[in-house]
Amino acid sequence: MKLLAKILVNIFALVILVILLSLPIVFSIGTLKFQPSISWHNLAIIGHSQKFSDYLTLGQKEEGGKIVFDLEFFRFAEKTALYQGMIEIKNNSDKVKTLAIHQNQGDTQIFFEDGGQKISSQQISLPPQKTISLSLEAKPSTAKEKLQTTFTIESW
Amino acid sequence: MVHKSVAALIDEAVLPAVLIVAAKILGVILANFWFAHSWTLESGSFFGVLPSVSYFSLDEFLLVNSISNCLMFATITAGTALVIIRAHFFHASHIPPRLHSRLLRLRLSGLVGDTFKIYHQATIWLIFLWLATVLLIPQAIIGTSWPILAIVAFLVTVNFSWFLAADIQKEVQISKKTRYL
Repeated sequence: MKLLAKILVNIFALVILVILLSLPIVFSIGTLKFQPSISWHNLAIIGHSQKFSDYLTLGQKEEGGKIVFDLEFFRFAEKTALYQGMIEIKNNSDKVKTLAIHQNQGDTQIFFEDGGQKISSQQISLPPQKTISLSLEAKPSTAKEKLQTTFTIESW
Repeated sequence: MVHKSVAALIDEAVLPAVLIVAAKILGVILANFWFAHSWTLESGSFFGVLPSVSYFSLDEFLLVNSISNCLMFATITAGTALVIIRAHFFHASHIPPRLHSRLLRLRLSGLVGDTFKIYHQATIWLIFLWLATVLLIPQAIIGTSWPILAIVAFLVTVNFSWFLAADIQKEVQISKKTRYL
């Protein structure tokens, strides 16, 4: 009985030793993963509300391992709306970026403002995820209605 | 109850294992900080408990894996080198008396180790060195780590094994001499 206990204890000690020896190697194999299955060329907008997207286009492409979104205002019909304020871009409730927007009096174009420069398109980049929920919300200072939309983008 | 050698091996394996894992983590953090952008941390995806880092770009995965492997292997190489230096120069069985007295004067007698301790330490570090080399070679073949790293690792491991074998041979000769005296 004593001999059996001795053998068992030694086997247990050897198992601990083997675990200790293999731990760093197993850790070094398992800690990093490459996920080639996600193809970011198959991105698609699968749902968005109407309001904001009447004036704004959202394009997306893959660049340097990130998803780059191109936000571009096109001609806006209402000359009297005067959008001047901020547009907030959120990804799953995390704020990604805040951009200033501006519409001149009597003009039909909305611009982004970047360091005093009026530009019609802006790029934002996000690390790739299986699903990206992008919500855009403009808080206008003069316009009566708030602009809001949500884009859900999935890759497969 | 546990065999003396097994207990000593477990004792000597804890610190190297912790250092190697720490070096790998540090390598991943530094490489991600400077070079990689397309990574995400997935919690619970490694053994269902530990987090793992996922890459969507193969180039970034290769870079981060290679850099972290490099740091990990450098740590093992440094540990093994220290033990081999200790075995060659500060081995209690064949340390030159003048060096021994100088170490005693400088209160560095802790550097001197007996055969039992040094060889158990060396065994553990050498096992880690060979395991890392065995890990790096297939990774280089399948293209997930730099091939040059695997080549360097193999050369370092063979050389270090030979250094240790030379010291063991020296030790055997010493013990034979003392037995006949």
